[in-house]
Amino acid sequence: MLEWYRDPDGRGVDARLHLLDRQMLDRDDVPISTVDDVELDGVVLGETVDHRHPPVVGAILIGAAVLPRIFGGRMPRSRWDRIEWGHVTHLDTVITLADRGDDLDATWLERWIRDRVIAHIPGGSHAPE
Amino acid sequence: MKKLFAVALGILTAIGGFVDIGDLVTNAVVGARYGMGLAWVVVAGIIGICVYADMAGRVAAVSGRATFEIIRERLGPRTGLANLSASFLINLLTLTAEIGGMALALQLASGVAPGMWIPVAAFAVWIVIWRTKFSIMENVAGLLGLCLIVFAVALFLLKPDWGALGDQAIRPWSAGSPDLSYWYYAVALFGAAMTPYEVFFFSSGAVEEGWTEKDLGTERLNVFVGFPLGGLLSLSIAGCAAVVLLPLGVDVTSLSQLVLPVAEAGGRLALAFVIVGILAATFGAALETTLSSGYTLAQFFGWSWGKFRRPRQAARFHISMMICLLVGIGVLATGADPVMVTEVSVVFSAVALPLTYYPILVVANDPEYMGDKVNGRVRNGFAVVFLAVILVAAIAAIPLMIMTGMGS
Amino acid sequence: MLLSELLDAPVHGPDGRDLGRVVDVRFRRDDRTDAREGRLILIALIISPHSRMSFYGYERGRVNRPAVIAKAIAWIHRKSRVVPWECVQIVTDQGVFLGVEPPVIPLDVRRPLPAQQP
Repeated sequence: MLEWYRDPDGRGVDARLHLLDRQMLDRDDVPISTVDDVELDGVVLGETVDHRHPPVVGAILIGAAVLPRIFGGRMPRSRWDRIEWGHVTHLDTVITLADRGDDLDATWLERWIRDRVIAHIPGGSHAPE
Repeated sequence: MKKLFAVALGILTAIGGFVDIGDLVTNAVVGARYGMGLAWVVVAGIIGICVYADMAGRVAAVSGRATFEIIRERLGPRTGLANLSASFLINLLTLTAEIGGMALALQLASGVAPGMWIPVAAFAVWIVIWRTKFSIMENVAGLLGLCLIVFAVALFLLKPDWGALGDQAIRPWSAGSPDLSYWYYAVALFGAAMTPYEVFFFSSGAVEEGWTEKDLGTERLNVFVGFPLGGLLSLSIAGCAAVVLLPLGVDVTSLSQLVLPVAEAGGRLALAFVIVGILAATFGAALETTLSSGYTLAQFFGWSWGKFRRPRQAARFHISMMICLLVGIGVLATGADPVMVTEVSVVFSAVALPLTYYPILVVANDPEYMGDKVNGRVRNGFAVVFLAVILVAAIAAIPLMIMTGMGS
Repeated sequence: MLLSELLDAPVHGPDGRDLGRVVDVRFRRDDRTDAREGRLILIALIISPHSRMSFYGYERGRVNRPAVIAKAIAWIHRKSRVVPWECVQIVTDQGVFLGVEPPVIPLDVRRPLPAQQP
């Protein structure tokens, strides 16, 4: 029984080893971001753990979420750039999402730089020749 | 010719590692001071970079993951950021030096002061990164850089005492034990040969080329042709300096002194080749370091990257490279000597080496990434030995730099 | 709660003893549901009494080459263990507090489970 915790039916996923800092790709294999943090549902800081409902991964956080992991501290919930776990189609050496990058709210920064800067430089839409 | 193009990535990568502006000058300085006495360091560097670039290339081909993605994943964001900061700084300093080097080469060719050439050089680098296909870029820059073979040709034409040269190489300490500066240059040459941006560029280039498991043979060819070739050019430059400048006691401080042996050996034609070669090599190295800046940032944060994508689809990647080029121009505009800038950055390079090569070794052994293409015993054996050497070099680098006043 | 709030948190046994820090969090993958990944359910914490560093894969007995490095890291992390989530009572700003004494489950799958268990 205890052995199960070491190898739960071959389905073990260790967060730091397999999930955090992994590259995320969208449905067209375009990189979105690395996994900067993970939101857990079912456990709350300061509340006694309810063992009838074990915690699950609710969402992946990207963007500024990497800063508390490097420098410490906590980021307010309203600033989180989230991608719900339900969007994930594959978890292996990369994490693949079901959507196109542009359709996700969380990828706003790339779109912003594309539209506000790159778009004004000639030749940006052409494939390299 | 097609076969030559197939190894263009390896050659271009090697150019950045062995004959960029910093290496050109350092090799000439070393040759003029110690003859071939540091040749063994170059050889060690060649073997080391072959072992690790091959591993990085294999990982990129088999798993599709370029090196800096792996660094963040294995080291975590904190240590990964430390590596990123160091590597990014080195890239930035080196790219500044390369742009400066291009300007110096253009000055040699035209007589016009380098200051005018700096914005031209930076623009040329940018436009190639913005619009040119990766394969065209590597073929042209790599092959033109091979013009530096003129140094090897010149060495033959100078009819040196091969026995004496060989003696210097095999028994570097026969004239008495080496001074601290000797070891400073040893660490600097080794650090330069194994500079991290080489593997960042090579592994990202592997992804740009779309290499897969089927291309492992090509990948190996690129490594084992490109880097030894680069090392050979390195040794030729040192050799020429050893033959012509060492007896005169010349301390190499400028590009024109560097090309002196070639001019002496082959006259104006050889001089033309060497100027083209230097221009191409610094241009290639500028491309390599600029792209590496983009690659490392993008791979650390997980941005979309790659020249195979339209710039629109890799916005942050392109904008960061543009900013780097602008910073480079800015630094050069203050009048800083680009070559001195690289010499400092090479030493810091040595310090960043373990943080770069250890994760590559770990992932190359991980079956989740490599399937059945994990490292065999021989590769691991070499890799562990060189990791130990790298650690020693990393620890010794900064103390040596301080104690010898950068080799003076 | 964020994963980063659990990672590196100090772990306190039911008697208040300091058991080390959380170095990783183990999940179990649920079944896939129509072309999407199944849920990841938290089943255990991975705790190390001294080393904060993790040289991923080596200390879990999965990547075991080059032998020199693997052995060195297995030795550094020899006291790392797996603590079932059922043992956790509450997580606060001060860390993870266990409600029951956890069984000793070495992290490295090659190390056997000790016979005596609390």
